[in-house]
Amino acid sequence: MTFETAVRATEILLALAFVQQSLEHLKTSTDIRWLFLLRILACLALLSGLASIPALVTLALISLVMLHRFQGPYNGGSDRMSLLILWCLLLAQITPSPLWQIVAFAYLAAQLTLSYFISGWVKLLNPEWRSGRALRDVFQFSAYPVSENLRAFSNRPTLCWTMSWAVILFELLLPLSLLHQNLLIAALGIAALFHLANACLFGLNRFFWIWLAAYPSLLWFQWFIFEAT
Amino acid sequence: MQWRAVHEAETTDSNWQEFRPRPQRVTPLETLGRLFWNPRWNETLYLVSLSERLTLEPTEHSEREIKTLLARHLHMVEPGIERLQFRLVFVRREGGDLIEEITHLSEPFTASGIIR
Repeated sequence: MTFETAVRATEILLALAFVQQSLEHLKTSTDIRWLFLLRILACLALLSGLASIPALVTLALISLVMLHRFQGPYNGGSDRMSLLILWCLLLAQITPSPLWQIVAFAYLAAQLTLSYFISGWVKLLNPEWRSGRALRDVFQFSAYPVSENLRAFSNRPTLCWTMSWAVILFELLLPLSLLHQNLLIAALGIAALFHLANACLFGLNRFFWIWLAAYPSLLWFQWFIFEAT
Repeated sequence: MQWRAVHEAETTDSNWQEFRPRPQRVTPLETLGRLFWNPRWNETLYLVSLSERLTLEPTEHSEREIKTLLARHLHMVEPGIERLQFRLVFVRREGGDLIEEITHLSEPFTASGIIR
């Protein structure tokens, strides 16, 4: 995937994810509806491809207002990834030097890779995760399962142990998929299914859409490092 | 998070209710729809973040936001409640036991005064 194609794909996926988030905010954040209407307009400008830089600058300024209004991220990790993609895209677009454009976009790819690897590493070091206990506790008494029926998963220790180790191994091994394009495409497909499962089980729909938006950067990065040279 | 309506004559610490209890089940069609439209659940996740902030590093913003979300929600589903109170209950595992701990108890407040 070329640099230009990856940047454009990221812009489109980011704009769609932001529109989805903003429509939800129109329902819940009633005191600052004007801000999310403006955000949707900026996303439409970004989607059109006619005014990418003004749209990205507007979205970046809105992200600062949102951080101030909610005194931090509204939706935890998905908002952090939103900010990361937005600011890397903006830097990749406004910096005049081709080298720094590549550095900004490669930083996004590196952070995406680390988001999986570090998450897997932290789980590997935690005996509760290695035994499957942590995942059983998530189902048993955390705030995340979307229905009471899902709490029954906590009574299935073998399944929770298997799921825990599947996630740990996948997250740790994902960086190796950079060695070949087909391997990376397969790995990102599995990663998307992982986020889809989290959306279905724990209601983390925003994570699903925003992580997808970062995937073009990794596809470009793999091509740039291993195949373009 | 738990809440209760506060009546002046009441002296007992009772009638606490879970805020937005989750449904018994969610159908596959509802799950599909929630991929695209899930504002209520995401607001509840924001409430979880606010509860964690209020427990770890209390700020006036976190308390005010929780009160506003609580009052606005109850105004829609149970209008007529004047005075409210909320508390945060965290559950953790210690060995084989689950321990419940109340980490924050708000003062009673008037709902109508803070709905934006």
